[in-house]
Amino acid sequence: MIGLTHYLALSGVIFSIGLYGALTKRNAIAILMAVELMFNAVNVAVVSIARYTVPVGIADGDFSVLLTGQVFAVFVITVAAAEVALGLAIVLAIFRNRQTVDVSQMDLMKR
Amino acid sequence: MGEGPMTPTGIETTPAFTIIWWAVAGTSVGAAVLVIVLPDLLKAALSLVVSFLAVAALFVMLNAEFLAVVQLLIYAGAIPILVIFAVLVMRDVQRGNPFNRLRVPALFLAGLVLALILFVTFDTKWNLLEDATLTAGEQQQAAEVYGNSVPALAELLLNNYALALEVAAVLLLAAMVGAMALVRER
Repeated sequence: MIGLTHYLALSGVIFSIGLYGALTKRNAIAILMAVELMFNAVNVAVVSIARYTVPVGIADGDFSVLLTGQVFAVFVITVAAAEVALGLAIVLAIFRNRQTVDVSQMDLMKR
Repeated sequence: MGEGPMTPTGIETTPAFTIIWWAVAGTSVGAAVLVIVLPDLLKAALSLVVSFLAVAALFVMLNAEFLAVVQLLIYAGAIPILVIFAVLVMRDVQRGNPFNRLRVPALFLAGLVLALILFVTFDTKWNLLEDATLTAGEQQQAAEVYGNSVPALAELLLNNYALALEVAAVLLLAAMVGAMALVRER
């Protein structure tokens, strides 16, 4: 039987893959894609916790609080969409000024 | 654990479900690895779509149908289109998708984070719906909420979290205006 730990372990694996990609990629767009993977892993975690565990407040007889994790996921998706739009706009602006999207060459503030 | 094909709170326990779950989980992890290792950014973006689709299937298995549809529309639809558009506009496809010099420390750090997550996952004593913390009637009610989750989710979003929902709308507007201001031709 598939339990909560299966989902959380899967979420941890995807999160770590995304973290590795976000730290090691040179292309800014590839980094954004890796960050998206991390957002997705977090969504799997919150939705699976919402599905399997008992939330605080259920004692009052309001069973809709069982879905609070799904509400979190809705907001994570909203913020991720805003992040992608802004991130790609920033990358596009940098590309226009410097003709590159290689983050190891974006060192204006280091000098 | 329930004796039938479902537990009292409606979680499937059939062998077919388990097999499908492992297939979907393997697909999502494999596609995520491909996103990182594929040298062609366009193919990496398409692999990202596969990973998002597998996560949408996971949402269906978690009785989160609304989120599965949102996942299809936004993650598998809108975001890859933006990413592919950006890849094509910046004509950096030939340069590929190289790694930087931090591969070994990053692998170490990612492994450490994974070990920490797995430790916390298996070490925590989760307060599960399946355990005896709920009466049979309460478990039945929980199963009904998950069996028809969209109305309950709507009630939660538009009553308890109405202010947050409005703030999210303002955030999207700000992001849209900000993105347009950033890429505007001067």
